[in-house]
Amino acid sequence: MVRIETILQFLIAGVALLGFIPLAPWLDRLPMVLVLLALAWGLYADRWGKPIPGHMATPLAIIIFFLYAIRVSPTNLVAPAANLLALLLAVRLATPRSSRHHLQIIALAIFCLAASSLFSIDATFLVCLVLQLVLAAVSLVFLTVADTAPDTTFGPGQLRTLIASALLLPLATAPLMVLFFLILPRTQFPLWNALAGASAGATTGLSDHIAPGSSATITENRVVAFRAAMPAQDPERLYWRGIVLNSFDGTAWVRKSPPPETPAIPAPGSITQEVYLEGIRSPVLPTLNIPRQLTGIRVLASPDLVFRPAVADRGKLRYGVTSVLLDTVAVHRGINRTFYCQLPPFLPPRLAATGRRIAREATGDEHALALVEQFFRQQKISYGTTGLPTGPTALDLFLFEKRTGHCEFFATSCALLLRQAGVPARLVGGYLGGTYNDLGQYYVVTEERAHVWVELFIEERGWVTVDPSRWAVNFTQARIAPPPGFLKRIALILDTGSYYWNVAVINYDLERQFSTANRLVTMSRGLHLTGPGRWIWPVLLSGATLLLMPFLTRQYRTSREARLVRKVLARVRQVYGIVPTPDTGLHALAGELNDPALCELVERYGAIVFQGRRLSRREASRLRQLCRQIGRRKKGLHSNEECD
Amino acid sequence: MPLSGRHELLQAIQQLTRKHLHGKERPLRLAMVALLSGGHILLEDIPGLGKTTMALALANALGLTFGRIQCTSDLLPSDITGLSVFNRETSAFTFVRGPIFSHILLIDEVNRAMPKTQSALLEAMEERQVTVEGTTYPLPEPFMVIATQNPTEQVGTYPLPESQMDRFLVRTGMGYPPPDVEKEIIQSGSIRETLRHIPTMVTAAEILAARAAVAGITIAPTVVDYIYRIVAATREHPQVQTGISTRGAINLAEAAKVQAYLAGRAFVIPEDVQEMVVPVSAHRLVLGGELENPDKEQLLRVIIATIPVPRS
Repeated sequence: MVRIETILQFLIAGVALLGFIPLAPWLDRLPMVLVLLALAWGLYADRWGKPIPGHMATPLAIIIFFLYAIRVSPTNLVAPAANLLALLLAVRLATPRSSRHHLQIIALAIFCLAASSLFSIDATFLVCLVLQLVLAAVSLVFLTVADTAPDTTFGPGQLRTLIASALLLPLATAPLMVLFFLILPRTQFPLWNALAGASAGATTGLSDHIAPGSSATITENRVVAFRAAMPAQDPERLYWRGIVLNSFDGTAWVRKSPPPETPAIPAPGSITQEVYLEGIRSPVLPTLNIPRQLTGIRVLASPDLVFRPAVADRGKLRYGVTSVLLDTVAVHRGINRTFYCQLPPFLPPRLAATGRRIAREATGDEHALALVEQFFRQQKISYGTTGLPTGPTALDLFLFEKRTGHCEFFATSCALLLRQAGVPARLVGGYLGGTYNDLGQYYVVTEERAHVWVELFIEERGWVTVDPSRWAVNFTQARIAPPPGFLKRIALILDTGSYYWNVAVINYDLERQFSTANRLVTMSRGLHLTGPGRWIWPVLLSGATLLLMPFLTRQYRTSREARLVRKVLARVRQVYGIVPTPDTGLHALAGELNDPALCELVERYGAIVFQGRRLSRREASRLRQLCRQIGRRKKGLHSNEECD
Repeated sequence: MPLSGRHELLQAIQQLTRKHLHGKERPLRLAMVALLSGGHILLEDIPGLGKTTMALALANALGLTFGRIQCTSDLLPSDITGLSVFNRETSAFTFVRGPIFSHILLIDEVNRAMPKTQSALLEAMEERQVTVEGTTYPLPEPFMVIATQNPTEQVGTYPLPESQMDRFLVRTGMGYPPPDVEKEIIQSGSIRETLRHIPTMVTAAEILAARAAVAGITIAPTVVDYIYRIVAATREHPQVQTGISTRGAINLAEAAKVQAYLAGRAFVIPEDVQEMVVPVSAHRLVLGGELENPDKEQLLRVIIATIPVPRS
């Protein structure tokens, strides 16, 4: 046997925990620890000890309130509020509870969950929401029971029955939830982050500012940058184009407004991708190199094939890309060579010397490239992300001393050497490779896959993609990932859930809805039944329905008599405001009310039903007429006795 | 006519209550119910509330013979049934009929008789015949016993065992008359004398015809189900040791039929059952021992209130 109070404690603790979990990452440490302590204390106190008395908790709650209230400002509104919510929840959890307090905890937990959606929209939210709603519904049923009979205990059978009936509540709301899902407007961004413009975290990965030698190590960031739904491709050719950096100031590559040019990308062999971007860390939209077209959102396109969203949205985005897998972009009417050959006033001496040598020896652009590659291969440089050269002479150290570095070093050195040789060159920042998820048929690209490579301009050909990092002695081991192991596979399967959350919930919009409807229409049009199949299915289906009907309706069928009685009772309630107790018979009711129409009705009805007959259709309709006259005929025509 | 004799019977009840038995309508009506369904009635109340008066009035008004037995602890079975007496003239034993050979038999203070006599009496009630010295004598029809007992007296009594209680179709109290009526009665004095002059309003043949009419009254399956649910509920109730027996259920149905007959209906409605359930069933309940001074009628009403009435 289980005490109802114990069941309630656990249910409420579950509700509170589900509200707390999604909010926890955004809370200060103190409220976070306090909530957990209070949760544990509440459960402990119910069992063995005494909860913290309310007269101590209330002043505490007030102090906490003011503590956080003074922190609130127009720019810092939600974080204190969330912390305050969590603290109030903690206070409520640790203090003695009546039914009212249980309800308060449920409300606070729901608020906590709601508050978490201001910070981030994650699939966890949905899971917690669904679980919390179910638990809250069950808790409410138990609360009602506890309120009327506080000392109730349950056996396992009773508990099962009660829970099953309690679960009907959320189940019944499921259709409504689906409906609301379809019609309610939604946001693709966590509201608070979008409003306040708060940064979603450290910006590692794709960056619009490349400064090799600014730090000794690179921490790999495994956060998902984006997912791209598309057929699997050759991993060697998976270059995701992000930003183009075209100017080196001596320490860092930056982006200057690119000179006008007209790239010509052929249409044949194009691949379409559906990209789901996880919060924009850099204000460019990654696309598979080389992108032809971007659809789905309004974008600002640059001539060097860099796309930015027209509205500075933050958060999750979805767009379609059409790309062609090429390593050359033809450009009509040439380019601004001087712009792409600019060099900083100072270059590391040995690098400058090498550049001058190549410029001297090169017979043309392509030969210069070959000489640069030859130089890199001779130096036997390895690819690495630790023990990196730093300081103003980082590039020199990279090429001649340490001989280790990452893509930024390779690309920077290569581009500088090419520019010295008079070959226009620019850096392209983006991502390399991706993990293909066979289940969802999409690529997952994490921030650690951020990469920089070089584009150089060769007359008659155009911008040619060259990845100098490939000249490293260990590039294959360092950058090309081995096939996924067991754990990685599981991670991929889990990632599928996240992907469909984005596809189906976050980025679900009217357009989707229409396209689904269209697809259904097209499918139904394509469904042409010919020959016997045209009528076999309808006949079979209707036959089965006819056969099943009696079984289906038997349980729910109400007799004509029962319907009439229900009508009469409804009428009586309407006219006299009386709901007879179950042990009041119709004749007794009629005698009590002394209503002539009701008396007549009951007499006629009783004469039929209590003689063991069923009502005929005509009798039923006559009685229904009488039913409508209840309360209309004059009283006193019948005496009580006659009524009986 | 399907409800033959109803009019006369109702008029008799009305006449009796109006002229002779002020405020006794309910016991009188219940006595009529017992008579028409072929059962017997147990009046349980203190002396002096008109039990005998009612029995006499009823017998006279219905034109029936009336017998009376005053029970004492030395009352023998033969005092009731009668006995064979040797007749010198014919040199043979002739059977002298006892008071039981009457249409209406009043047994006063039935709990004062010793168990042997009680059981002989109750056997006669059930069998409607008396066997003395090997000869069986049928009792007259209609035959009804009106037994009385004083529930407050304990000394020198032999309380009827539960099995004997079950043989009474109806048990009821008399109750004090309402103040106004009682004052009137006090003023007019005892009416025993006038009872002898009550005119006969109904004949025995009419009563038998009415019994036949009652037997023809329909009782629908839903109402039977209702009776069953009541009976089953009394059997399952935690405070009840022994619920209503099947005989009790049969009696309830019969009483409900009479109630329907008296109300002028050819069918039983649930309200008839409700009306009859307490007088017919309350005395059959055997309650658990731990209950001090239990009120069976009250308990039964509580049980009835929990059972939904069939409405369709």
